[in-house]
Amino acid sequence: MREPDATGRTDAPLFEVEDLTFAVADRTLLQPLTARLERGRVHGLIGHNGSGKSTLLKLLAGQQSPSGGRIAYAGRPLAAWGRRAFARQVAYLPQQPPAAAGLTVRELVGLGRYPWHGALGRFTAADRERVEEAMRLTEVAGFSDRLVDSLSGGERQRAWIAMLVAQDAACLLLDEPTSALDIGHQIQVLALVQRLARGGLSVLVVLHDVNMAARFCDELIALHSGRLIRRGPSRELMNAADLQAIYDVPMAVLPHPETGMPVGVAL
Amino acid sequence: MPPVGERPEPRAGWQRPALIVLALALAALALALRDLALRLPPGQWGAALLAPDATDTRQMLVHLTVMPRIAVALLCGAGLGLAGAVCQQVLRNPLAEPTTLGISAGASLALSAATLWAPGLLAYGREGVALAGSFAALLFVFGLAWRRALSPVSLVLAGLIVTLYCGALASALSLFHRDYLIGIYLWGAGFLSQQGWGVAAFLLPRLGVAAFLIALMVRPLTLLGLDDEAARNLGLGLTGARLAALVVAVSLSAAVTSAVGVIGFVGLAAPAIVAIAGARRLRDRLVWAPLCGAALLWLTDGLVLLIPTGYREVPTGAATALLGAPVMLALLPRLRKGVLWRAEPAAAVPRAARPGLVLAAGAGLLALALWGALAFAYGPRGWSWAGLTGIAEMLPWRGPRVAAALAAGAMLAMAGMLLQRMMNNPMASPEVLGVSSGAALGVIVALFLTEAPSRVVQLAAGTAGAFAVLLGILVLGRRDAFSPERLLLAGVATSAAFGAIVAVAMATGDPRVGTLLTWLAGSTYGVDPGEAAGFLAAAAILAGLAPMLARWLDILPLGAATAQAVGLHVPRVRLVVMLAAAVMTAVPTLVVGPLSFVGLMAPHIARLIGLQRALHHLVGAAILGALLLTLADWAGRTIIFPYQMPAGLLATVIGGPYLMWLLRRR
Amino acid sequence: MRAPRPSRREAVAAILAAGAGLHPARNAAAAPMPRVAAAGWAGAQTLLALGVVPLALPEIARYRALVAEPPLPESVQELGLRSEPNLELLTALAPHLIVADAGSVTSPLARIAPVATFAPLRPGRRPAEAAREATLALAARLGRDAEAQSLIAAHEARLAGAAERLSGDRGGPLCLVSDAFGNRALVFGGNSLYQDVLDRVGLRNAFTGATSAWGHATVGLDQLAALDPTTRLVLLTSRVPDARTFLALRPLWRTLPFLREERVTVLADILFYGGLPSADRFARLLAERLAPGNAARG
Repeated sequence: MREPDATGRTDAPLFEVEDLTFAVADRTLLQPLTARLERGRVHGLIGHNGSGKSTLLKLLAGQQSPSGGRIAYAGRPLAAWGRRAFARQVAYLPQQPPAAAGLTVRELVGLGRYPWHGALGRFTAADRERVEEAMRLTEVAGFSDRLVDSLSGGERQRAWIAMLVAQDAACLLLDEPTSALDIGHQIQVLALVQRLARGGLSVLVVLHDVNMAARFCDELIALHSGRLIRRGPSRELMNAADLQAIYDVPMAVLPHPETGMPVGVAL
Repeated sequence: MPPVGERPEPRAGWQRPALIVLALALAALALALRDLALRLPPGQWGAALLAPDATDTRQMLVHLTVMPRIAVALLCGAGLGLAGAVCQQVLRNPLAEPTTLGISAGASLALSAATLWAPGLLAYGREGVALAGSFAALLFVFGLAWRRALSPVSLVLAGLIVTLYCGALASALSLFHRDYLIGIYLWGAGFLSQQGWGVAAFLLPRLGVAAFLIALMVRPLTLLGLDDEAARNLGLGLTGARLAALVVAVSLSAAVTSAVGVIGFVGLAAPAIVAIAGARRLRDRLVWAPLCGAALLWLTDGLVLLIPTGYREVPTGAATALLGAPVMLALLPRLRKGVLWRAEPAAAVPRAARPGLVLAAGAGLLALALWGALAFAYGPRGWSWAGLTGIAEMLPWRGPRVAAALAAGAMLAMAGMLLQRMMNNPMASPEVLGVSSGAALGVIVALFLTEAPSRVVQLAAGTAGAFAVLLGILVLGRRDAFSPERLLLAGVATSAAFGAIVAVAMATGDPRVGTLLTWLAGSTYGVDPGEAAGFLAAAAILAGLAPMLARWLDILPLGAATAQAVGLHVPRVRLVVMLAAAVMTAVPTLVVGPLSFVGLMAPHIARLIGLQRALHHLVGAAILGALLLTLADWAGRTIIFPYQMPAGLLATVIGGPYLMWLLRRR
Repeated sequence: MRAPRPSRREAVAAILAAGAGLHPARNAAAAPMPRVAAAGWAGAQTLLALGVVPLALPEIARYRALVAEPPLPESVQELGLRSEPNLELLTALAPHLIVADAGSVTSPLARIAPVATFAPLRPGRRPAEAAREATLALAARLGRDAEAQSLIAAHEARLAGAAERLSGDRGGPLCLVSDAFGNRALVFGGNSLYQDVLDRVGLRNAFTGATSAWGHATVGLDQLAALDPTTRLVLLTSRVPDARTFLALRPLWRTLPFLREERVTVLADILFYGGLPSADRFARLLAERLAPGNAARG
């Protein structure tokens, strides 16, 4: 496998996309889209069902090839990145993580070290240390020897995020990491994501719930019918007009009774 | 640019299907007219059909052979098309048909058994026997797939397993009773030749009744196409409706089988063709699939009649399978992915606390078994333990067999392990890839093209066959990034074509069929010391290389997205794993034939005893596979001395039910 | 009449005796019995006809049922399946020669003793001629040339006898069928051993279509229905006792003229690739069943 010489330029923006489009058969899922994402922030990707959020995330993660346009990560076109080199930079969590039949939490997290040691390299003490640290950060160390499939939804999601952390990537791409969780677990997981970002990671997370997005993300990116329609700091986007444009239903924005944060409500 | 989410509505559901059926029927008609014209001047055709002159041999021949043959082709094709359309609807599986559900294999096995042990039953009619066999097979398939909620893939796989198992039992029967079963091979490959209107008269009312019953069930059948909950919401008794429809479809297909033998693929291709042509609604499919099936079989039979008959006539049933396999491969990309593959419900798996200990125990057991297989035997002098000198004496005979069994078992098990991990499906096995079928085809061709092919020629031909299939897989798979589901279905198609060719070979009544049978049954009999050394070396090399794939095999079950996210080049990794599995399948297939279940059983059992990490799983499966085949070879040499039972067959006959029980239990 | 299969104990005793150099008492007066094992039925048949009792033979019970002649002495050891004669047992028997049938895999056998392949059917040769040559070749291998000459002479005499007994036969041509299921049948045609016998005894074969190297073909009933209307059906099988049972099992066949009019003769099973003894057996059974005066029909 061809290894890119470096990890890309750290001064370059995280992601740059230009005229990015994606179509399957006769359906266009993403209209020409141009944007750039900065480092060290939590970006929330919002929009109604079928707006193209997941598609955009998959394209950025290199899971799918665009129909047209360009994507660059850290100043290098995505196609120029080797698979493993890219995996050392960008970690991706699919919407429904598959069953991890027979794996313990520690083993699952250990798989996150693959981009660093490859198929045949030694699993070194440094790798082991990274795994322990990732489990500590995500607070799954307490059940590291349990089977992943025996965990509760929130614990399992944290275990998967631990695997992404162990990957030691600079950027996490998360596709609706809270979709199957109850409200308590949602907060738990998103707080973890926020904490990781404070530690210097860049995050792009697809979220269904606009209030959760506003609460935990620095900046929101809204898609509608495959088109980027709004973008801005979370607080600025939380107004009735913008939310109505994004979700196609009349919305009102109220202040949170305790924190005063804006809360969107469908009318 | 069309707005997102909107698709052009297909044209009226009957135009294109009608055109296709018409085209097929016109081609068939042209062939039939050509054939008739060679036999009788057109002026006498009407007379020959309605009121033949009993003193005119040519008219009588046309009346009693040519015309009823066309009628039977049309009726069988229509019946199979209808049965296929119903099966596909009920099982929500575009690849279901009675044959893929193991029903034909069950019918054939029942007919063989009845011929041997209860010939009196056949006097009452083959239909009853074929029907009993069909339903027994169907019951097994359902039993195996039940825990997986009869999901499409689990049904196709269960059908494949039941087909393979019935095939193994049938080859055990033919190994020991070949002389008494020649007749069934002559008949069973699906010949349509007729000598009167009896068969047509037998089929017509049955088709009529079935069509009537299906017409009554159109509404519940439509609901069955929805998912279970939706159908139940609409007030449908699911089990009852499903059962009633399947009973009709299976009975129809059993009637066809009992009348003319096994005819593959029509039941699959006809509904698929009309569906792709735009018969979207069930009602349309139920009308057009039988018509398409009738035209398709008529056309195939017309083509078969063009082949000059030597002493072995080509059975139409085999021809449909041979023509149908490529059709199915061509149709695969057009089937919607979501329909094919549904995530299998995850099963709770045990996990060994000390896998190293388990493996060490396994290795110890294997060593013990090896010593036993070499030293302990029922021989010319009764049961005997051979000491060291005794072993040395018997080594030239037992050594190569034990070595070949050991090597083949280990390689097949590793191949199965690779495929099960890659496809993330515990029912995947080397048979599924079609590679063993390819190797088997190569050997059969060698067996029948040359007078007495040497082992070297057989090995070369087998390798060539395996690699031909591999090449096919590569060409076909590249388009879909070697997606497991497509490979699986391609493998099923290859296996079906292989079955058709074996059927033709059997139908020749050639004395060499005996050699073919023992080899198909997986015997280590003919292995000489040189070959054994070669196989051992191959197994050792492959076993040495396989652990290099362990990390990939840990990651692959987590799905393509995760695999790619942690940096695997998924298509490339799948290709490498598949190539390794194919080589590990092709080599042992040359020794123990294509019918062994070891590649399915050993990795599965290894997982069930708690070996979960890829490396442990791999080593455990290899040990178990070697153990299984070594023991089967030993038992096969011993229990019916001086007769011998091929190791692969014994492993399947004994291991098969155990595997089915394991699958049921989960 | 079927002899019971020897028990394992008896079998082992026989081998031990054989191993100790105590040859079976039979034919003790003649030249010492060569230590020959037969790996196939065709070779065994001719060995026995030459007066050589093989040490061992595969599938003995089935040989007695399907080949029958020449009868097999009790001393012969069971060797297992025809497709896989037991090698350990063969080694223990220490034969000087192994007689294998054409088309079988001989390489493992050759590791035990020299292998003589007995090929009574050869492409491009009349079966009767090939059978005679194969018999002479096998006899030469065993130093039994005189016995071979007298075997051939006896064969000629038997055929001549059968021809004489059948000379009064005025019936139609024969259709030789050895197996049938549903609407398919295995028939014997122009290049079969049976054809040569029919030629010698003055009978005609109704089936003239293409056949395999062994002289057989698989056909549908449509082809049988198209045969000469005076055809008589000859069933070469011992599994149906008479034509009535045959018909009861295969109702479709009732449509054929020779079954409607009950022109059916059931002979016993005969090894169609067996050489001179098979030809003799076929000729004798034909003469017994078809010759005027003792036509056992139906």
